Amino acid sequence: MSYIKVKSRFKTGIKPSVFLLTFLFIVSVVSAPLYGEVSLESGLELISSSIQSAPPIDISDSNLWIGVNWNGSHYFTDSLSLFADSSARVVGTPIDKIYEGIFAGDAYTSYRKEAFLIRWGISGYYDVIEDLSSQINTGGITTSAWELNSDILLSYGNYTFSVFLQPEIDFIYSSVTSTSFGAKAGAVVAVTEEVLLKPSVSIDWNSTDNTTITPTLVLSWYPGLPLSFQSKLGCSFYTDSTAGSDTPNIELNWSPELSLLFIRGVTILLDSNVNFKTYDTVTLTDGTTDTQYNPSLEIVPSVEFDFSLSDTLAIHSKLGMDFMHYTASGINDLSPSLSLSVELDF
Amino acid sequence: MIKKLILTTLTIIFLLSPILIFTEQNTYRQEFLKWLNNDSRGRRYLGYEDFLSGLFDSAAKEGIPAELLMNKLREGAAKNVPPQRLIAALSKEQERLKTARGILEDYGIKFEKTEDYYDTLKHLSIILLGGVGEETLRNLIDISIDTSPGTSVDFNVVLLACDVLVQFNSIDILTQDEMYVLGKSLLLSKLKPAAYSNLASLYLSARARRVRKTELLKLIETTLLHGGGLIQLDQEISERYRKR
Repeated sequence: MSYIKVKSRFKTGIKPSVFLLTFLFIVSVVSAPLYGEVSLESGLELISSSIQSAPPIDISDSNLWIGVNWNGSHYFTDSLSLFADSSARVVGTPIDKIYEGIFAGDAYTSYRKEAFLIRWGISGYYDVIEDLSSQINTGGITTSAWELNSDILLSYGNYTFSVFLQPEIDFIYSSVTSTSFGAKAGAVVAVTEEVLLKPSVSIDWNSTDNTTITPTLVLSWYPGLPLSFQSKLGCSFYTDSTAGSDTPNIELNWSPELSLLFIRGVTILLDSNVNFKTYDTVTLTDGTTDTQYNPSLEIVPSVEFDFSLSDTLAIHSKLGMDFMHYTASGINDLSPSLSLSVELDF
Repeated sequence: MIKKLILTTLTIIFLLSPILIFTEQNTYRQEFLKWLNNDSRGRRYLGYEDFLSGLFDSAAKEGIPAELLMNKLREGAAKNVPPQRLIAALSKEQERLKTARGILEDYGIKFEKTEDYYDTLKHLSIILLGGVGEETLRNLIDISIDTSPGTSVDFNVVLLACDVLVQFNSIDILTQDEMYVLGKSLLLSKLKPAAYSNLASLYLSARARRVRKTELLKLIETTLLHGGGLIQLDQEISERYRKR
């Protein structure tokens, strides 16, 4: 499998049109032998940041965006296939005067033969942010980042049992450049015909001297009714040298997710992410970052409604919130959000 | 000898079935008129007696069991469906039952019990109502015949596959081509028929995560045709979700 992801931002001195044209050129070349689909998507996201006490509500992080997505696939033989997708998106945060451009892409090729699956992928993004709110520099401040990731999946299994190994390498260039190597090994067991249990363990080594070990257990339930349920429970053990401590930190994560069919063409996705960290950076209300580290609890529930109005038109909506609680300092942050987008397929 | 006797009896019953249905039809006609005149819900449709009687008569000529139409009529009346809408629904139901009967006849599918025959007609009607076209249905039965030549068609397996197509079609609007490819993949897969419906749940989960319809259908097709099942599909979809 091969997966290519390219995210990009507009850099001072380089015209946005150059990026767009380059992107479109690459997409055109890659898409030629593939069966492809293109979609245009536009939306807005209303975010109310950190309601710690009383109004006024701060909605300065709210943004508008427009993007184009492309994806394609090609089957060379019954066993060998290639999938690729790419996207370009421009995000504007008018109140904060921050503008962001993102180019992302991925491609992967997979070979499946009987019980074996080998997939190699490459993905990446290029992301640039233009912050015009700065009072220091009248031209604004531009920051950019890019990431390149490659992984290979080796899987062997049948109807009731499967094992896999997935090594990967990740290179990130931003304010802190890092390279990380990781590997994930696990199994999938069909406990019944509708319940899958997926235990796995992953280990990541980061060039900034962090090592993370994460055992995870995922339960998937596909009951045959118009609903499905997933529950992911993970626990990461890591050392964070930037925290100035060699004490291993622990991060517990639980992500339940329920998909439902409301009526024909309308799906509902209820999900939540509960995260507990033994050590976390505390951001104070005045925007400064405290040097102390507190245990933190973050709960991010959301509900998504997707309306497929026709084969070419869909409306996506999401209502969510982000609740953060620092147990030692007693600081609470609550950020509700609402997003609406329209997707047009060609 | 006993086996031969049973087979002969069944053949006679099958050959006489139109006559039996016609006799039964008259019984239902009387029951229908009684219901129309005496039942509080039935009286709502009194003004449409001639049309409804005509519907029962034409159904009788086409060999469609009146019981099935009568049940539909009672069901609609219980829901207080306006007469015009109920008549339209009954006409469509008659058409679907006629198609269902034609399919069973063409493929020589026989039933030992009348209830089983009625249940299958009703089941086929629901599948047709759910969007699976007659041609798609026939093509899927053909696949079932081709995969097991010389043996009788396991019609229940085809029905189970079609039930899943209806489930998929209730999540997304599928074209007949998409339904045929999906149905074919199910029939040619190594999945147990009882596990077919789990795929509809998986499809819903992937669609709710915004995996594209065409990509997803292709993925299901290739995975099933390569001997994969729920585990392999879950793996493929989780991978796509992770990457996005």
